[in-house]
Amino acid sequence: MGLEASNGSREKLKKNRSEKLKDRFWKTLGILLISGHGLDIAIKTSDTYTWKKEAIVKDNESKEDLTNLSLLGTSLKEELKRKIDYITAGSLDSISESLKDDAEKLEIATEDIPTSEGVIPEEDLKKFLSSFPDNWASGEIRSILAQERSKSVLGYEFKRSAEFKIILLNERGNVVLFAPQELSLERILHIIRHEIAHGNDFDTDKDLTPQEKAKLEADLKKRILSPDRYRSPVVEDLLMSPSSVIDPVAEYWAEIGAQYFEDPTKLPRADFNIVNRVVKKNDPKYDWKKGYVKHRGVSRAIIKKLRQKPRR
Amino acid sequence: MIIKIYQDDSYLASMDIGAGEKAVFLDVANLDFKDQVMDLLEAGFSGLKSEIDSGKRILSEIQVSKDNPFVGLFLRDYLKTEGYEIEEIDPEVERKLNEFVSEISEDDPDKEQIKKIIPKLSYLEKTSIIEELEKD
Repeated sequence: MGLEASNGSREKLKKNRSEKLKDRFWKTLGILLISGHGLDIAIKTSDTYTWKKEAIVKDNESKEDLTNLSLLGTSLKEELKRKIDYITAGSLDSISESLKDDAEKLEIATEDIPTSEGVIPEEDLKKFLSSFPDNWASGEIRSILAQERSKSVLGYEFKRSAEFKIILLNERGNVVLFAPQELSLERILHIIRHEIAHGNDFDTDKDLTPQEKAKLEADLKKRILSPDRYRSPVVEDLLMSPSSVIDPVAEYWAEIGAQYFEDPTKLPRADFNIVNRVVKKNDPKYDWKKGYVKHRGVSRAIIKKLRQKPRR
Repeated sequence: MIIKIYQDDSYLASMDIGAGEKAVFLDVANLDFKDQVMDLLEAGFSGLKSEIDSGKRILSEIQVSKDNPFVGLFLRDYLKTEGYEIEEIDPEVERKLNEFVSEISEDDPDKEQIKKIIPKLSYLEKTSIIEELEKD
């Protein structure tokens, strides 16, 4: 009898734990999806695109909101992808119409950037830069310019330049793409995201307080040693062969900062939280899902436009 | 880490890249793609490296060989820049989620639904859920 009662209690405890875990599962998924609600309005497609309604409601508190969403049967990843696919189905001009005003006001010196796949026109580069949150590129980056291999960069003649295929320099907010005509388009976009993140790090950001910068650096120092850190070859290489001059923590920041815009759904939650916190400090109104759809949509549209042209 | 590679929504192959140090095919749906990757590994391909030159930090494009200690990570990034869609699967994250599923009773109707949803989740969703499940 005693043994049966004990078994019964164990079963009850197990069931309670299972219910608790399930609640957390549904609630977390619900929160992630709910915060994406409104994307249709943000990208002005709600009148022309009807999302498949497959709400599976498990969390009573979220029931009302969840039924307004496209899923739970599918995922955030799929929801975002469908929206990006939708906006990139149009032309760049129509996609980035909403960015036109911001692009015209942008105070960053830019020019046409040659790539191995064709030239990114200055106008499109400005739209790409305008799709970042407020105070992320604007206010932190002064110029993004291309230079021929034969010229020096900002007055520097690199000692080993002959050995480098490509060089990029970011000094005092000036980003120089050295011989970008040898780089693929997507690599250039990644590099620009990476360098802009450097403009918002724990040394450089103009919007963080000294305390916030110290916390950012401390959080990144923990993350870079964590087994579930974001894996980037740029950082892993520095961890294996430390440099006395390059700070791997700053490079880790630049890589997760680039990934946050390239595709935040591929970041570990802990890294996502760090970047999102700093982004929100720069632009309190920024909504990462709306921002991602906009940024990724414009990036894909630039890529699509160039790849449709005959290559040089 | 395992990477699943897609192009235009078509699944091409899965590769085990370990912690970044290797690039081994686990499953191949498109043999041409496998041949292309094998050629790349043999001939080398480009990757980014952070360096100092003349006292300035630069990001330079380097040639990556199959003997590079991070060949798997470099290959993942190279394929991304070539327009392939990469899905990353972290075995530790999968193990934790499987452990959670195993705690749900077999006769619970939620179990099947959860099992179907988990593979569709993004890495961010999976790690967010684990973070919540581990809170106590």
